[in-house]
Amino acid sequence: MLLPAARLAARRLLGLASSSSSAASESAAAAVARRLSPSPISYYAAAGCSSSRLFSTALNYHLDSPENNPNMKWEFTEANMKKVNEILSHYPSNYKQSGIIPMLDLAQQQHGGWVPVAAMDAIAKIVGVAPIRVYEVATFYTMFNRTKVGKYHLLVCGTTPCMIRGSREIEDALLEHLGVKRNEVTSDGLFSVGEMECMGCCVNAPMIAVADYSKGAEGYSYNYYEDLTPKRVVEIVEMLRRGETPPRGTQNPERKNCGPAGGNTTLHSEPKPPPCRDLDAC
Amino acid sequence: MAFFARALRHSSPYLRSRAPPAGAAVAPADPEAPPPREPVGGARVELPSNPEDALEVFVDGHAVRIPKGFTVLQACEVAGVDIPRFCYHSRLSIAGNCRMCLVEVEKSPKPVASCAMPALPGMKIKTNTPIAKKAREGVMEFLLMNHPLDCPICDQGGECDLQDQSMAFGADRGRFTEMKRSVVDKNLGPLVKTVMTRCIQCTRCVRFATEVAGVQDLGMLGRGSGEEIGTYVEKLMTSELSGNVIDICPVGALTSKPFAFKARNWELKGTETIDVTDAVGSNIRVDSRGPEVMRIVPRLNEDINEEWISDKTRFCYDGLKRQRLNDPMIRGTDGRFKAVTWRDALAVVAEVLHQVKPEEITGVAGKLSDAESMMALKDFVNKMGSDKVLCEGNGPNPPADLRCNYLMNTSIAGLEKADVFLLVGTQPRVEAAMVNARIRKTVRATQAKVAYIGPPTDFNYDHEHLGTGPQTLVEIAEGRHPFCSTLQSAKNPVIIAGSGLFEREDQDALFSTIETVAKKFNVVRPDWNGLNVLLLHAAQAAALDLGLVANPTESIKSAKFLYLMGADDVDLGKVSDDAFVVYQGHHGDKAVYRANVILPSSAFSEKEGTYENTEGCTQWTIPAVPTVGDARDDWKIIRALSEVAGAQLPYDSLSGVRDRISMVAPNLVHVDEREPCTISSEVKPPAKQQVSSTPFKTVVENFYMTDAITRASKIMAQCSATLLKK
Amino acid sequence: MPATKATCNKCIFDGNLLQTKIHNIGATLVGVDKFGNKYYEKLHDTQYGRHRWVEYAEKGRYNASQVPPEWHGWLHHITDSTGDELLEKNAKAYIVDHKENFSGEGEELIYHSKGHALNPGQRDWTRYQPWEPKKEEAS
Repeated sequence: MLLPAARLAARRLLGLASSSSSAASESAAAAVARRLSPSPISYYAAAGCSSSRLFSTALNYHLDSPENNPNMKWEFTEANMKKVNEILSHYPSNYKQSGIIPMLDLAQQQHGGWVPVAAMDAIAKIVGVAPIRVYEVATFYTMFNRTKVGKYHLLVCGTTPCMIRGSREIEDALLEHLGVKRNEVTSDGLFSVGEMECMGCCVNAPMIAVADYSKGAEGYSYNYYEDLTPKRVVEIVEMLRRGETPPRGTQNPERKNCGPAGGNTTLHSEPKPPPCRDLDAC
Repeated sequence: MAFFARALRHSSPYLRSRAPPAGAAVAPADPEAPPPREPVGGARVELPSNPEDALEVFVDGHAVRIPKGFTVLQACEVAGVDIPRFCYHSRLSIAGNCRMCLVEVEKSPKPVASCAMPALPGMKIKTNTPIAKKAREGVMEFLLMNHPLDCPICDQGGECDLQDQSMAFGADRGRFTEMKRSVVDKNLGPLVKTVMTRCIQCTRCVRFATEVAGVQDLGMLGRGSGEEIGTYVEKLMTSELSGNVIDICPVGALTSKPFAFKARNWELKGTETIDVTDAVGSNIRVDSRGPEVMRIVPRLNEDINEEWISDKTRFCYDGLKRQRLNDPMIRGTDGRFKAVTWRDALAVVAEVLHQVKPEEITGVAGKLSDAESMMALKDFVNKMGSDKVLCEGNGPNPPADLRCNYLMNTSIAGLEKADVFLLVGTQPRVEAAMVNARIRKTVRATQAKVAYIGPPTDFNYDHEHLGTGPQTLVEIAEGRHPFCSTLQSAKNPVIIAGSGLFEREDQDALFSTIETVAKKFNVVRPDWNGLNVLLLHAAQAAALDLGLVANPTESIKSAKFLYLMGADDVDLGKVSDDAFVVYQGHHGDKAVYRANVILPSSAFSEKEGTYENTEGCTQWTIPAVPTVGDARDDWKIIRALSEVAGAQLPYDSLSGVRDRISMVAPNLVHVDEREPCTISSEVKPPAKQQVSSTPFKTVVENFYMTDAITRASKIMAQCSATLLKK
Repeated sequence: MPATKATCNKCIFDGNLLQTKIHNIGATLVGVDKFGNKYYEKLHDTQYGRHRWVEYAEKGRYNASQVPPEWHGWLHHITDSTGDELLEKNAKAYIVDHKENFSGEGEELIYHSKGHALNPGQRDWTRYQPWEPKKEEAS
């Protein structure tokens, strides 16, 4: 099994080196490629060996591309700028950098699900720190996507309870249905599938989270779909494709939230009050 | 011999707590409970005068008294126990992320990271127990897990903290059988080579870049085992102190690019000497192999350069091996140079000397000249009947009467006590990088305010740009400028004037204006002298001490016999066409092209010489390598020439020259001492000049190439090509 | 050997031989082996470890394999017994005659020390690049 991040990186490198018309970025990409390994194939092989280690994020360094480079102009929209000011108002003026995480989140919603390096620079300017301090934060949190994702970013929980309940099958069904690999975007730009760690829905495992970036920061939603089956997850994807919003939460019609199927089997009666000391007896 | 012992004196490290206690004074060690061992490295520890600010802890059962605010690790150091560490560095903030410094503290449930744990009264620290040993062994195993086993091809091999400490504290085997991780190397420019797979994430380089160098380019990216040091976007490290990350990196992740695969450190002979590429006189160690200087590393001197040096100091050494003059040469009638013997060369020079009138003889000392050769040059030219001896960079009429008028009176270490800086026509970042680092340290530690008058330039700390010309200075002197209120409220104000002011026509008026400012805002007091001149070249201070103060414009224009002793930056266009020019120096730089006779001399790494730095501290260079070809020491050449010319100088040994120097400027033989300036500046006559409105100029255009050695250096050429933003 | 005369001429310029000759002054001749190689020792005013040496019988194409095994030990400080003593002590009937290493015909295959005049890659110990006055005239 190949390392998805490494695969992605290698493909992007190759794509950059072959397609980029600008000489500067081509030489840069080629230079990076040379530093990575003598040939991409050996990089595949080397990366493939260490399958025990999976990175959920992409590379820890930035590669210039036409849609993601520091020279790009990037600003918060006017509506989002109000939110930025609201975020900043939460923190004392000498601790503005505390706002980096919420602002990165906002930038990600505004920019269709991922933060380009220009957005990080813009945030650094707003909070008045060196850009590298923002890069450090953005690379630390796997929830910040630093490469392009689909309008609907489907995150499959891969942690043990979900895995035991079949999250691998859910992911396989998704990948097969969409015809992509993990962390790839479908050709229509609508979907991408990623993996994430436990979201605390273990009782309704397996689950996926759908981050909906199709409507910008205003219509942004982040919904859980729980108690999935490979069939149901494909249905959800199709509903999303049609622009519908599938009912969030458990997909098992017999269950209500995280209660047992078919209603409660216990705790039917009124709960008893806790025993109290007889204060008068004291 | 006593001189020599003093010249080689080591600066001992100074252990300080993060918040220095107010009014700290040297307290004698408690006679009742002497520490069992000396502090590590002979470190100086100052106990606060108030006994309540000191506390007692027990290290391995021995009581030791330390000031409040010390960490457990520092307490152990005072007790003479060296705790292994990777991420802790006494001059950087505490990170506590390598966990190598774990020690056992009684009543603590688990080992504590001593670098980040404040020492508390009565703490019983145990550094040598099975728990501490096992903790270190475990940490070491984790650190080595992802560390490649490439010591045989690693440039750090032999001086690697990880190597040494794994020998001392590590286990003899590891249990990690998976694939080791590998990390993409970063391009940090022409000076620092990266092999990021070797990195152990101590973040010393990140903290150094952020805190000392003031360029926030490096950061810790990613998380978990994919964590790596990098710049994220492709970026070179554009700091004038970037070479120091090579020294602070405890492993071979950041190594010197020019030194890569050139030598192993155990082959090198270290010579403790000083640097002459600027007026700071940074203490360095020249590492040589055979006749070749292989690298230059800093040496600790708390009062001058702490333990950093600038990139120019560190990487100029390849200039010592290029463009060297190795034979005396005479320019023939066809305009070509021909190598000749010393005897012939000196005879030709002496012959011409006797043909010119005495007042047409001019001697110019270069910016790298040592005091001995300048003394010899001055004596020689005087003996020939001329008084036109000067040192380049000192301007038409340098204020050489009083030492305090051209020195950094506050001293470099003293800058740390200042709370307001006024920089007049000086860009310390390029003129004296180590002084700039001190100012930055002060600004960071105490939020001192910096104001600057001069052309727009780069600063790596917050500053206020007041103006570009002398008018702003006049406004401050007259109390009309808004900055006056800041100066007024300052406790220890500092004014630093650049020596570029010496070159200006209105320098007398400027300096009297500066003195007015100083008087007005109480900059010079019995307990505080904040009036400073920041010199530019290593030779400048000694030249002014020795009285090489002739006016360059007239002397050079009228000269028929021009003796250039390493002076490459004199205006050669002004030299008259029929002048006979002797160039004595070590590099074929600029002035050789006008020379009639070339006399090869030795460079600073090859001779014993006295240099005085900008704060008036005299230091010696010690020869590290033999000189090249047929070159000789500067003063010896002049001594030999004087004999051939029939005006023999009365000394023929180094101690003889130094005896002569001690008569002219006794401070130049008191090595490593600073003589405080006590004479008040009142005795100076008022200036008659008017301050002109010409704005101040940038004095150093290219930080990396300022003198013959750095201009010959390929590395410096690379640096100026890639690192200086056009 | 046809080339002997030529190599002999070359050996005039051979610094190694000359230095050995100078070195020999005041040294003790410890022995001469059957090939005519002379073994010298000088115990005082010589750096320890460099106090035993050989002057090869072959002046032109000498090489280290011309030292027979019995003298090798003495020359390399493995034993203090000279070659002659060793031969006396344990002369074995089955010992074959020593032959020098003939592998590698031609000058370029013969080992010459890095400063040897015949070494095509003779090392230069100049560690600096001198200033060339000619460059200036061109510019």
